Amino acid sequence: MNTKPSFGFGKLAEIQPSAVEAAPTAAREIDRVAEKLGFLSREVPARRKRRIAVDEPTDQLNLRAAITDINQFVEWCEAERMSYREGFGRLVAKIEKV
Amino acid sequence: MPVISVANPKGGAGKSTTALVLGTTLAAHGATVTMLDCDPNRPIASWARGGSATAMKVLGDVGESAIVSAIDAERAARQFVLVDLEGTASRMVSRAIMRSDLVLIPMQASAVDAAQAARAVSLVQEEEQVVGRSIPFRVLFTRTSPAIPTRNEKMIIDELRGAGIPVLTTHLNERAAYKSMFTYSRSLAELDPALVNGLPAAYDNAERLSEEIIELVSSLNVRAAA
Repeated sequence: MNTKPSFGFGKLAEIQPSAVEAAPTAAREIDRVAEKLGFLSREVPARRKRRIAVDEPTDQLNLRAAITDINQFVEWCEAERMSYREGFGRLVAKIEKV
Repeated sequence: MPVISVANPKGGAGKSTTALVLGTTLAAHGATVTMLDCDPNRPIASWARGGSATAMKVLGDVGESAIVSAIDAERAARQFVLVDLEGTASRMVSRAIMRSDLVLIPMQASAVDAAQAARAVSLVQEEEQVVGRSIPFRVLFTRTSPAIPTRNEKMIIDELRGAGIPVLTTHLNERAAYKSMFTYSRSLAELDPALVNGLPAAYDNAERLSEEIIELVSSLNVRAAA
């Protein structure tokens, strides 16, 4: 019982890193075969919405304003290609700076 | 060099335990090991954050689109690349298998596990046709009793052998120490024998499993070189 049981770790040094290409990548074909066997993609790309989401509750503000002010506001929103909500938000942001 | 994927579409088959036991044992013997944790629950990545002193490198943020390049990058630098796959049938599993030198299919000796393991075997065999090379695989029985094989176990092993499915001689036995690796975020060698029962037996089991894998990988290398 003096001899230690022999494990196969002596061969460990024979195993070395290798950049050798195991096989040409055939990802598309592999995906097709896998799909046939029910191995489906779980990374379904999320549909990107054009609309910018607001991360807080929203409400409406109806106001009676001078037509020239309204026109100026609408022109500015069009020139900047932004929604009225966004334009209003940018005006409010200027208040905070005052 | 060898990329070893651990795959079974069934959850709870023992994939992460197998990967962790194998990876940490190989690393403890001085091998350079990278573990790609591809389970969405990231069990091994969170294990690695627990403070183990293992030299095994764990990459936890690998998705379906990056799996192939991650495997290729690691195989060029490390002796072993282990891929712990998710317990579901997914494209990530099939892509990892495509780049593997060996696929381990852990399963418990139950009909449910066997049915899902058969899916993994079918996938490996189909992929072999596509890539035009053999992708060696072995079924590994997990959570078996170290003492007496159950009737179920014997029956399933006989059936697999009869169908020509290669099975590893060593099983990953049911051992409290393996669960403790996750509980304490430590490798077997780092666990405290005062807190964990049956450590020497678990250690011996892990060594034998790793030994069998090294032998297998060496023989596959020789065959590939011939």
